[in-house]
Amino acid sequence: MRECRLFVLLLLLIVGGGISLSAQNRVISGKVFDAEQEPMVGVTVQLEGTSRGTITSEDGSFAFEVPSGETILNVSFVGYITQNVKISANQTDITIYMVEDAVLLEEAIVVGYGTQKRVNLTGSVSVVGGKELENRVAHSVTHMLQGAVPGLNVTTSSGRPGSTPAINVRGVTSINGASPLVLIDGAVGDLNRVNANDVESISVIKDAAAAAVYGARAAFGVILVTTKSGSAIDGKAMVRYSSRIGWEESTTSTDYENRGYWSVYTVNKFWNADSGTLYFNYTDQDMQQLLARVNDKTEHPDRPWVVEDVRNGRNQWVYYGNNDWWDMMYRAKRPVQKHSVSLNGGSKDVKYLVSGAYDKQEGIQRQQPDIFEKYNLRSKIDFNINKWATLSNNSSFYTSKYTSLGDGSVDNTIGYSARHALANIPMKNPDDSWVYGTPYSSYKVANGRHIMLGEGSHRLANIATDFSNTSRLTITPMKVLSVTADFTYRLYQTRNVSRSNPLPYREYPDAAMAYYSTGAGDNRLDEYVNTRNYYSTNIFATYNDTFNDVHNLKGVVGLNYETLKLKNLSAWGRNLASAELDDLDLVGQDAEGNTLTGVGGGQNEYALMGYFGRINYDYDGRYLFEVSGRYDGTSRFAAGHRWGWFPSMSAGWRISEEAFFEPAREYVDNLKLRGSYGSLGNQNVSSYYAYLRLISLNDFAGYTFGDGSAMGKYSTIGAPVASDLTWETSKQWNVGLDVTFLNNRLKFVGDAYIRDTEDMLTDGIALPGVYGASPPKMNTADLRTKGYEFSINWRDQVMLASKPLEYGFGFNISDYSSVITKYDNPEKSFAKAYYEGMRIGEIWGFETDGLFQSREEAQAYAQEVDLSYINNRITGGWQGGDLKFRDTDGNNILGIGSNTVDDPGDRKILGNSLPSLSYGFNANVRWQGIDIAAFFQGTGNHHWYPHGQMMNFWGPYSYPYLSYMPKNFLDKVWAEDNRDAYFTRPMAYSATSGPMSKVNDRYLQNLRYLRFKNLTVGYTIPSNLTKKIKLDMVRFYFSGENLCYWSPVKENSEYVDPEAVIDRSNDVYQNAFYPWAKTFMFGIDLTF
Amino acid sequence: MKRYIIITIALITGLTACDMLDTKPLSQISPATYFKTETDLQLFSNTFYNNLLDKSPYDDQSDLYIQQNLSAEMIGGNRRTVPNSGGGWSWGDLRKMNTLLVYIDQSEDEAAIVKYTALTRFFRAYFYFEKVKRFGDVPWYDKELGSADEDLYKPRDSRELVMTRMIEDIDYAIENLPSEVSTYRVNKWAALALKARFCLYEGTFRKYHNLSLEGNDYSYYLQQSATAAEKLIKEGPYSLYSTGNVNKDYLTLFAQENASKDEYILAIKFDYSLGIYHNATAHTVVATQGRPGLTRKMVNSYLKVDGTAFTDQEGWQEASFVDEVKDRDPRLSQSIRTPGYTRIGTTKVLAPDLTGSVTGYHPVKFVQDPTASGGQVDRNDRSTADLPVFRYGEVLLNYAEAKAELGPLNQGDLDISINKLRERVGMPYLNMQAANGDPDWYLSSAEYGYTNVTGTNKGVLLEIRRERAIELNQEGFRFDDLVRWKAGYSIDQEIYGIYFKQPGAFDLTGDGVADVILYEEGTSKPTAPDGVQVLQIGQDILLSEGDHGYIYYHKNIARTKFSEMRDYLYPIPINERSLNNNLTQNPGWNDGLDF
Repeated sequence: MRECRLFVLLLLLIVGGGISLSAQNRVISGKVFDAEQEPMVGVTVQLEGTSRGTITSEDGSFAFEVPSGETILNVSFVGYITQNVKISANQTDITIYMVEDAVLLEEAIVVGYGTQKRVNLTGSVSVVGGKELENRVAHSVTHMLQGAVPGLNVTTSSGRPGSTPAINVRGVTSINGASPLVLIDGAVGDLNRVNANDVESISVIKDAAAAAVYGARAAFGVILVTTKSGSAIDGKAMVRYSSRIGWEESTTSTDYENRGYWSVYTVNKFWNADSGTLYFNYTDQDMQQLLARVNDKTEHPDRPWVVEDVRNGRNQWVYYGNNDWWDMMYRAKRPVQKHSVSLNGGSKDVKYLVSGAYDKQEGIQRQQPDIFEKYNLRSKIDFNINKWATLSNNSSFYTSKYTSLGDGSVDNTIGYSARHALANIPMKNPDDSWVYGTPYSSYKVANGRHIMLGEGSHRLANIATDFSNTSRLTITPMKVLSVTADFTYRLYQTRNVSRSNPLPYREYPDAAMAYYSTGAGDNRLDEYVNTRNYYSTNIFATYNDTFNDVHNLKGVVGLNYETLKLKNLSAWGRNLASAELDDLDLVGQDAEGNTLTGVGGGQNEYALMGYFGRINYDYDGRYLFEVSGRYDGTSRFAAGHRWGWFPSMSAGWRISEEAFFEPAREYVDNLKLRGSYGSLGNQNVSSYYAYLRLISLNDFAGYTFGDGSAMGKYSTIGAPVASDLTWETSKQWNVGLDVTFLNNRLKFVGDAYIRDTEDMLTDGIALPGVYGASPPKMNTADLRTKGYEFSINWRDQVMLASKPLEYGFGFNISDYSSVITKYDNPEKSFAKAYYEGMRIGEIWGFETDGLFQSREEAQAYAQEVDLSYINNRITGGWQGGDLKFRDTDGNNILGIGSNTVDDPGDRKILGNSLPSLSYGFNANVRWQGIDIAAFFQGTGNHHWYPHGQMMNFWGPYSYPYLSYMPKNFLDKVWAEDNRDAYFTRPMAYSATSGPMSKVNDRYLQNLRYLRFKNLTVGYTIPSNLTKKIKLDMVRFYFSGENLCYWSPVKENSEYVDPEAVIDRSNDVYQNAFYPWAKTFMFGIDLTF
Repeated sequence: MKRYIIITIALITGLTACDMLDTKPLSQISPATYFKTETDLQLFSNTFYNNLLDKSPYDDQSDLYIQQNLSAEMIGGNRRTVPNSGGGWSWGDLRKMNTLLVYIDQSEDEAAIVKYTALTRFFRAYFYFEKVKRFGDVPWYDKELGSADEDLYKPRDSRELVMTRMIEDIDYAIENLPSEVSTYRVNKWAALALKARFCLYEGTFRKYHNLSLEGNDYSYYLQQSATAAEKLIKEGPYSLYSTGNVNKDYLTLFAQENASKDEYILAIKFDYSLGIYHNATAHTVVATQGRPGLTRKMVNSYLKVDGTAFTDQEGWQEASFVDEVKDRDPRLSQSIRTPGYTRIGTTKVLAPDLTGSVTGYHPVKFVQDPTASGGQVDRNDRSTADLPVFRYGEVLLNYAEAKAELGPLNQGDLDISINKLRERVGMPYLNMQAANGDPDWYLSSAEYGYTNVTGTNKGVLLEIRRERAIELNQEGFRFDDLVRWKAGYSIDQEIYGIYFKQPGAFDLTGDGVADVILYEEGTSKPTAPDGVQVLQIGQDILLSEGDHGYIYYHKNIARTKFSEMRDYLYPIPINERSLNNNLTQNPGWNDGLDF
């Protein structure tokens, strides 16, 4: 980059010919370095107030004559802060360290269909430079953006390797949920599939005005990723190689109860409290045996962990062990590595960049780790065909593969393993057979998941490939006009393979080996292929001219067309001839000679078209105006409701350019006020043909009419639809202020906005169940989101031990709140999802007043207040250790009134599930080749009422027979001798359907957190040493991601990461889930 | 320059000319072109079978048949709650039916229109029967509701209106469905069987709950039931499955891979090679699948093989297991393990497994040959015997009961119904006069029977109920029967098992060798050969009187008495009442709402 600037500068200087030298009194000589103590070539050194000066040579040195006496030199270089250096009367030589300009007012920012000088921006656009991502060892660009851009919210959706976080711009966008549009070099792409090292810059477009040229899908922000291009530096090719390895660990505790006695005791206690029986049918003598071993870390020869005994006329194994099931199933440390290489160079007419990266993450599965691998390739070539035409071709290829063991998914495996594996039970019997059923319980140990992992017989593979190619031709018939046409083809595909096999186990020492062979134990192979073909084309013309030196006019007009076709294929077969090989050619026959197979299909397509335009005008760089709009059509709505017009405008005033601002200019370098208003559309309805009611044909999962050897078939009709569905519209007001102070060292950017999302496609109204179908979506609801965001950055350089020390810090914060402004719920009933005036995320629940401390107290209260609404699972009547719900409305009945906002019974708003603030702050310092950077990220108050099946939080108050029980759980359980306990008396299922399932203030959690997101420490070997071995740059570093967190929820559970409390698609996935990871990596970067 | 402008304009207009946004569905069909052929109509209606028919009737819990974990209905009290949503208040299938009835006119196949209209109306009656049983009065809808339809918010319709409409539907179905035997598809006879069933339900419900509504009275429904059943009996192609083996036929009927075409009017097909299974076999033979057992009250009700009552016999209360099951109605030995029981297809004598059945009266109905399902039938969810939806035996019982409840009943009515069932198992005929002359004390006692049966037919009604309980054991009818007879108190009667007079060794197979040894806490555990169950009283087995008495597995389970005021009907979910304030809650249910 620097070289590039040098080239430009040289050209300017030569062309401008502004160098003149004349005889002076003395010669001043000196050297100019950057903060890394590299000599800087081509720096302009000028005598203040004159045009006299010179530029530095190859080794950064300069010399020229200056007048005698004290004088001042202006030292300047593009991208660096201009320095005014005082030279004393007798000084003859000087060393100058340049400071990088962090603000770069003249920098070109990528915006829709073009670029804009930062200084001229009128919309709200945040930019993240590639450099800011370089040090991060998070696994995707999306992860890296968390906390980096104010107003951009990134939610980690799973701890699984290769999982993709959810991304959202400026809070609640629509009650349908919607994601920002992501464009990679102008074509729709996946942010998670971009090689972070390829990124030149990322522009996050937040307001409507800046996004307007993208109309249809830009209502909820646009993220523009620009990848690096080749550059021609004297025809020299530059190679960059970087490599790093390290490991990951869980962010939360995984130290679960591993003592057989406490595991069985606790589970039985909770189970018994509910049903009066035992879950694990152990006698008192068995419990004594367990107690005798409670401190045995390993099996003591005198106290075996499995004993054979004759019971009920049968020889059986009795399990007395202390087994750590989490530890046996999953491991704590898992290796990760990443390697990338890029080659970049070119000549005047052809420039190229080729890069590749390989990423490997091993997962937690112990016996055979789950592995996520990905490869990225990119090739980018730019041709100057002639002086008025350029052509570029940009290809990227991505492939990833995630292999794991288990059935269905890794989430399935972890979730189902979380039940029935008590710590006294080993994975295997003494005869090396698997434990599955036991005579002591009617449930299956870990639902057999340990057998799947141990046998390696259940294999899953998820493979994704993504190829994209964009060719772009730009012609410039006249200096002020250019026309660009591009065409993108993208082919992406996911392929899933799922194999299951019978699970062997033995229940009694004298029993034959048994096999579980239905469902997850079926000998079966499933394969799915989903293929997507995407085509897009853009044609646009850009006009750019200046009149009378003060009227700057720029315009873009163009057309965009996109279409996606997707096709699914699936096939399955049973009774494969091999247990190890997974291919449908191996499908065999069942005992009766039937070949059992099935196939499935499905295809869809959609198309989008838009005409867009934008005009920018500014007067002398002081008054800035922009008008843009897009006329957009989508195939997802019926003809007649298909097209929408989405205009926007914005303006800016650079106050700092005004004459009256002159006095303040010493402190304030730039002051700009911005404002914008625009409307955008959202076509994101759930289905491709949402306006049609269609018939689909299906096979029953398990029904036949006995005619032939095939499943019965049936047809269904889609739920009723509203045929006049049309665009959701989002209208957004934005005001912003950009200020830089103190020679660009301090920078402030602030924005405030109001966004009205209108005609949201909602479930028109929640309809009574007698309607018999999901209510049709209609354009009926409105939402208003208000918010602000700002960032402050400071960057400076000081001398430490006469060496330059560069440092900087930054802080950003954002907040928003969303309120429903229109919804068809006049009675404000809670039975409908929303009501007018509802703040999104609000949590209604009961107030409580501690736990009853005695039966008398509880009974007296139950006499006074009718508690029958919340007495489910209360056994033996209300008693000590039960939760006291407050009858706040004083009607002596605990209830929900008429279940409306105006009559909510004894409930009130307890909190809000959306974060009240999101913030990030970073600090970095660089000195003598050492660089240190730290990054923190966090949120303000937000609340969570734990899901009833979140066993990590509720322990046995959820389903009582959990495998992974928080250690020493009984310390938290109310008892006569533990009256200050956090939880109530033992009660299985209390959190799923008993008193604790009723949302209340006692168990409401505050998820506010602060996370030490990243720490990087690096060392760059001085270049004079590395040059000797022909290397331009060598840097070693350590980087840690997600190092630790602070949160109030930690007080109540060490096992729940505040970012992990997200909605999961299946209740079982709440029982246990892939732990969130922290990463430690060591790396090296080489450039030559 | 000009060139480019022209090209650009050409491109833009070119793209607009053809409407590139008009994409058509590629893998789904438009309704306008569907509902044309008989196949279309059949496919659309197939979903009703899958969605509505009960695929596990065998695990229904009641006072006669219980499991390790008692259902919410059995525990009662606060174990039964008002749900927020769901709770049986699902109407999707009704919409599908009404949708089909709208679109069916698109077909030009007149015969198919009539046939599938009839089929759909059959299922609509079937659907509403379930709703009425569960909720009592419910709103009636026979049209596809629009999202703005005011009827979405209407209050419940009266039971009388719903029943009248159901009878119209089922009469249309009876008239228009094919009459050929079609075991896995609904036909005219299935429609008659449904009518007999729901009209009997309605008639007896109104009679015992003393419900008189404007319109028809209870006797109208009983008459409708009797007439439908009689038509089926007299005109239908069905008979009881019988090979003449009184000790096997009843058992075989339910364990056969394929439904008996003689007796099953409508059945659900299960198929090993397709992987369509139910769990009936594992449910009773695998100790971890629920451990079901008949209750002692039920076992006592099986007559002696000579037609006399077991409970009239001296010492019946403290008889040992081997003694009590001797010389009983052959259906007892075909319903539970009794001495000499061998599983179909095997020769090994099996004792009742006290760890596999919570009462010791170990069920055997529906248990298949162990070689079925490729030899894996004993595993969880691997049973393949077809399950009955309507069987001829039930029709006979419905006929007899409707007639008897109605009043004029003659011996001939019994002879074509109850006595056919008795004939199959070699039991003496039920004699109307004898029964009415001396109503059974056991069946009318508060401790074991029904206290609210009165009238001239009291004796024969009790016998019909006895017959019904025995014949339809484990087929999912019992809870509904208790509801319509207003006999919820039956659930509170003791759920005991086998009697043990003291600790010690007991023979359960009649071969004189001990099969089970009970010992007390504090005494040393007796040694026993393999295959003998050694159980510690109070720990492994609970007895009603401490160290002796009836097996009382659920002794320590807190149960709440059946609420006469509340428990006959289920509650409406909270959300539904919040969305439609016109829906009243069923009596006694606290849903937290203050209206």
